[in-house]
Amino acid sequence: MRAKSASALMAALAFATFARADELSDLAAKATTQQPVLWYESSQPEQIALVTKAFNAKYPAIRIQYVRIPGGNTIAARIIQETQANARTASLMTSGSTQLAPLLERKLVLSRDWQALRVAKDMPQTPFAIPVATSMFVGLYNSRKIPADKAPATWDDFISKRFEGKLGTWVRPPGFVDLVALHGEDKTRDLLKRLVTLKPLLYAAPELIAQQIAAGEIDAGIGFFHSSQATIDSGAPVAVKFLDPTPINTIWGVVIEKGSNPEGAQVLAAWLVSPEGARIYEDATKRGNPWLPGTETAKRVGSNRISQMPLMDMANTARISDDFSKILGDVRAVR
Amino acid sequence: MMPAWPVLALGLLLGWLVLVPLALLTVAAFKPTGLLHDPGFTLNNVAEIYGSGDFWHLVRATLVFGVGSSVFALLTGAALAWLVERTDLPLRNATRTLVILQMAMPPFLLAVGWIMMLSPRTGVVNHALVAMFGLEAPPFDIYTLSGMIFVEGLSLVPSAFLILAPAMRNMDPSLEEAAAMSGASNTQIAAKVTARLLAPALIGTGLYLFMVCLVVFDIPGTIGMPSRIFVISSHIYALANDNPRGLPEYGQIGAIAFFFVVMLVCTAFAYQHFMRSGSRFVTVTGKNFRPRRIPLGRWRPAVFIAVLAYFALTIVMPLAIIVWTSFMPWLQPPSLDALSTATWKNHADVFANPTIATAAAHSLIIALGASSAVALISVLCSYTIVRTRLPGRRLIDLLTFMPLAIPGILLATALIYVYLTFKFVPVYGTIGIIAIAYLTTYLSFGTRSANGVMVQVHAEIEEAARTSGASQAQTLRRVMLPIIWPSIGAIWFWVFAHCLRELTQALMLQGVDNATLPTVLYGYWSTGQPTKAAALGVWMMAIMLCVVIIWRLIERRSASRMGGE
Repeated sequence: MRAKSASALMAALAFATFARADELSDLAAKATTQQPVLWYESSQPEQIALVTKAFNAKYPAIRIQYVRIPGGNTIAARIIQETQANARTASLMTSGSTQLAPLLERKLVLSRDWQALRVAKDMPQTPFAIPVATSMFVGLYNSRKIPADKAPATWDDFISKRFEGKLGTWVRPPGFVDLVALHGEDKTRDLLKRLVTLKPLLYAAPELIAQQIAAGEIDAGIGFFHSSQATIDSGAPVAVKFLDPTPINTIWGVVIEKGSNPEGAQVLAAWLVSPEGARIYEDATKRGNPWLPGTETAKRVGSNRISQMPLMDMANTARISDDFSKILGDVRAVR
Repeated sequence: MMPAWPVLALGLLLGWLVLVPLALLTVAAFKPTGLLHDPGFTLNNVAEIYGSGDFWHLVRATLVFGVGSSVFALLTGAALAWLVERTDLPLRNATRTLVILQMAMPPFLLAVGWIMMLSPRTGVVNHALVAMFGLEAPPFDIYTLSGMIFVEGLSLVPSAFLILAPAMRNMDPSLEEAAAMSGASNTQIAAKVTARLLAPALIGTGLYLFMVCLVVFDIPGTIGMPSRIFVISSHIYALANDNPRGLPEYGQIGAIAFFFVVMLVCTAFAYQHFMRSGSRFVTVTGKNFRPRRIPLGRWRPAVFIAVLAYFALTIVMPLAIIVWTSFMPWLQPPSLDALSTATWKNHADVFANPTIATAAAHSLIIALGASSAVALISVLCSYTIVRTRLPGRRLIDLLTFMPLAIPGILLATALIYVYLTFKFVPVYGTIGIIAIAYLTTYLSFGTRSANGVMVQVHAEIEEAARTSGASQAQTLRRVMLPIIWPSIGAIWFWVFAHCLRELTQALMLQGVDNATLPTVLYGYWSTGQPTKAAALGVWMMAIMLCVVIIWRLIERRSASRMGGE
């Protein structure tokens, strides 16, 4: 139902939207006369401060206010609550597809032709979302406990008896859900069930996985590349292994129609997916855009096959996500 | 005759603080999505929660956790309070300060400290015991319900101590002296006189701690969730944050609130039952007295060593682990190898963070505002509940008890709706909404503590003041307040400390410019920088130490003015 209405919207927009060459400048000029752009995301304020500083070097008159929503899973709820109460709400949300679905359902998202704002044609965009960055799901292990020649290198290596009781992962399953796109649903479900029998520790925040590997609490884990970087940068003995296929979870830039300064939000979103904006966002948050050549993320992905559920397959993604969450929930039963 | 308007004013204020959020949560329970303005009504959320076997399994685990933690905290806190206030234990003031200092440690950092000590894989204590006694397996596993009970119990000891210590201090020693004259031993006096005199305070404290354990999240979240040991509060967190479909399950969360309300009503009924018989426990009479100290005799050195061991275990070791972590480049257990990597960088980075100064200012303003408001409102409510016969006073008592039934996540969710809906109170997204959340949350503690002390003060003291021509307000200000001043100070301090470290609600109510120290600390933690989180935690504890010292100085000056110790 959701996917159907979204497809209809896309089709309608294809006919209705006509780009104008100077639309970005027009929007930028209009944005300066309005209240600040309110931006909701889950990154640390210090990280986003670096991004907004660079943005303001280019667009000094567009003011931005940032609110961190920890974990990112309540951004949509907050926008809905604020919109329903006619209160000031975000005009830009950068988050995963699960946050987009409830906003689309309530017709809160602004649709537009992003190419008119100079967004690259070959980016996997829709009228209501553009890919700002991706979270890459990777294998992690303690390089002091596991020598390089014995390091796990494949999904089966990580999810093996060798790591029983010594493995950790995130309590949420989006990495495994995205793996379904290339690995297949049944095969991924079997993998996840095998993981559960290994009695893994399930952490509330993905950042904890690298920390606990560094501390020796677990030997290996499956988590996000970006959320392990702070630990690795501190010199901790944590190594990253890009698995094949590599699941990625895209962070979509979404403009809220009734948000505070939607014009400014469009300018900011378009800048975030420009080569300059993407580089700065990647430097600050360690999450990069694999569709922009030259980003570190594009280089890292390299020849790996990347696996991601299609954005418009939201209903199916939600179904698989529900199913996989329940499987992870069974850890309680075996531990 | 006291006019009725103070009760009305208190009722309106409490209704706004407590009933309005609860009403919105109730409506949310019957909404299909849990979002108030979404269309339709349903019973599905209630049916899904209460028809599920999993929920009743959670209730069982939660009750075990609640009873275990609260009994542990009550026994330990009462023993410490008795030793400090009623015996000749050496270094009593230092002991009091150390117990209180425990409150400075954010509970989730405390949990991290205990994980690093009692983890079966990396726990320092486990490793030491295995090495010392040649054990085949580590003796402790923190990732169990018992581990959670132990750490939660420890974290609540200062609360139990702070409620019980003033009650013990205010006891009239004449009954104990009479028992001693009749040949009763110290043990008999403690069991048959002291414990019975303290019954209202002990029962009130126990029930309060039990309710706190039902809703508390930090320790179940940090220790229990990774190994999938859930209690209701961590289940609520999962419903709010880990729903795979993207929206928090506010409907189910609202439905769970009914369970807490039922638990609370039962607890409140039990509490009121004991308080009604409070006159039996009056211990502060019009007669001048100096509390009698019980000599520990030959047990004195042994008890003192036991107290030292307790502090070594509960303060020195976790604090040492946190301080250690704050100097490490990454999270690692103590070892000589790790020592060679020690660095000041985390502390330097914390002070270089441009948001720290603002967050510290916000935390202090919120803590000062909320703690002062809680102390003031608690005294007024308790005076009305315990010392007057005004109609509606029992309702006031119930309203002050009710916030205990609202877990922090639920209250924050409700407050978002309240202040989005009633925009004439423009606090949404500001530090004001956090202060209101704390005022509501901690009001229960304030009134329980104040009730426990007020009930001990004999009516003859007030009657003497009234006979001398004092008005009710003058009696409260000139007679009651000086007597209960240590308790008010304790309430103020307890709330201040808890406001300074509270995380869950501050995170949920975060706006453009209302960051607090705990949210910055959590930011470090949740972005893979636990060592910086530890560094900030160390400085937060330093702030608390300063506050403890100032408070203790004021308390001593006040006590010496009153002619006490």
